[in-house]
Amino acid sequence: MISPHIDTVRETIAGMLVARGQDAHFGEDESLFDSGRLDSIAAVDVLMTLESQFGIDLSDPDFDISRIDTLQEIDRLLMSHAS
Amino acid sequence: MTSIDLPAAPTGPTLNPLRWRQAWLGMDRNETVQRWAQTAQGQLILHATFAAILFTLPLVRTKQAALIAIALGLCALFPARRLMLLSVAGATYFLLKPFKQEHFYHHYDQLWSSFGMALPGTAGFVGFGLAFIAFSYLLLVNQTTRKIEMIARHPIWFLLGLGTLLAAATIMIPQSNPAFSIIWVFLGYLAGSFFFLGYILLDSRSKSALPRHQQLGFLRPVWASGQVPLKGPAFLQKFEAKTATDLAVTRLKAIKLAVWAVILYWFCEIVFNRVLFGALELPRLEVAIAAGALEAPLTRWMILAADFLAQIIIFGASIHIFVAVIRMLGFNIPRGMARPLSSRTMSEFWARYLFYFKEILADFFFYPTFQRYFKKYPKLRLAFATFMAAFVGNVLFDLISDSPSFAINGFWQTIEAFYSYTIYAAALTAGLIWSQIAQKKPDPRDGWLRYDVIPRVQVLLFYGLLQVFDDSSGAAPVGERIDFFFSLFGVIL
Repeated sequence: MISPHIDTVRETIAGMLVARGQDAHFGEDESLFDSGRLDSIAAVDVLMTLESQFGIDLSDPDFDISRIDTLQEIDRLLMSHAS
Repeated sequence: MTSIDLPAAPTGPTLNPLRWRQAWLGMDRNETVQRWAQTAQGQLILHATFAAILFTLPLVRTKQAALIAIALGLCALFPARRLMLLSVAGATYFLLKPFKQEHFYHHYDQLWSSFGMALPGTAGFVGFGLAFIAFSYLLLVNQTTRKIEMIARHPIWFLLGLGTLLAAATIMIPQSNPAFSIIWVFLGYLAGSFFFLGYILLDSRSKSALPRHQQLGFLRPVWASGQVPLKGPAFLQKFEAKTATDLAVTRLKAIKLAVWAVILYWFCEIVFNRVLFGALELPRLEVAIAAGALEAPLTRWMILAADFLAQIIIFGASIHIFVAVIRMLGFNIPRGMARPLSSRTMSEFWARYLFYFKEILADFFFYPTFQRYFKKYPKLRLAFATFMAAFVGNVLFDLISDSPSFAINGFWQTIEAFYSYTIYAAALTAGLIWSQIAQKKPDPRDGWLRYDVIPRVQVLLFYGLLQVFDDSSGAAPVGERIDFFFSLFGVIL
């Protein structure tokens, strides 16, 4: 189950997919970056969205970029940050 | 997208080769073919076909092909134990083939014979390899227990510091000293498995990390012929086939990719090696550079273009066959190269041409830098992270791989060999930073010429010219490369 506040991230990712000539639809557990569907520049945009809109601190040395590969994982990250 | 898959072809016999091509490319989506690929006969034929490709494609060494074939057979028989089997096969490969570069083996043989041991050098590999595996295990344990917090927080910087110390020791300690041999061999193991171990250590943060003893089997997976790891075991797990249908689809994709690798290899061999560089006697780029740009300017451009295309094609064949191996084993990972010539920006080309190498630089250098530095200055933040990846990480990658050469070739000779690559990395970094920060994104509304043609020509011209400096072997001095570069524009220095 995806929480409502993830909609901003979903829209951001959908916009990136469209900008790269791809279908805007993607599954909640679909790999976005590891699969090569989105590139590292797109990952940077997602990271900046997480920082600016959700206050996630990315400077934690244990933060693993693979934790934002799917919408579900991003949602888990946001939920853990909120709690 | 990283797939060239097309919709399934209409059914029914046909003599139209375009329909055959369409059917071939769409076979992994064809339910009849998927069902057949799940039968015992289908699995047997797919594996036999794949093995035949492996053993006949000159890009794969026979011994490695044999190890891969054994791993494929075992994984086909015991698919539920796939990762454990791959770990055992990888550990075997690591113990038998620990170094990356052939000339390290010659130096190792000399050191081994100097010990006066009756045992063959391979026995030494097993002993040294087990010691290195034990060292890696301790690092993995520390990632969890965090007894040495500094190493747990910065494992890659620790490995880098250790490698630097070892390399310095091999330069300073006389080669007649027994300590030299031990240190040089350990450095060889570290250099050969640096980023493989790096991914294992990064993976230990992942929730889906394998048990430690299994992770250690990925210090050199069976498909790792080159210096670039195709990410770590946690990445593989993400793409593991979960159902019999998934597995069939993944294997069909593997066969398609392997056949594509064969086509690319023989296209390069016939068109470039036998016709252009053979019968028509067009010099290779390295030969032309070393000869001092004697040809007419137009010929120099032809040499550059031919060498650039040949390198893309042969590299494509190499990466495709090893990605196909991983797919045949049941992991539907992305391709390592996907239509690089269609790229409209420099950063897009970099990702399409060298996907897994780009991933290494991003995982180990780009993201860690981006996460920590210049957070209040978005453009500077992106530029600095790109610099750390495309320049620092890029040069370090080759320098780490070549670090045992300091003791063999001497410090300055090894460093001098990197002058040209440093220029390459600097120009690449500048291009990527410009591409990410300042380049206007091509828009279809700009029209065919400004959307489809000009951006692609710019990208190919940039990377084609970079080829002149893309060398860390020191085969031709950097001065001759600079002369050749300017001679392309009619400037004779």
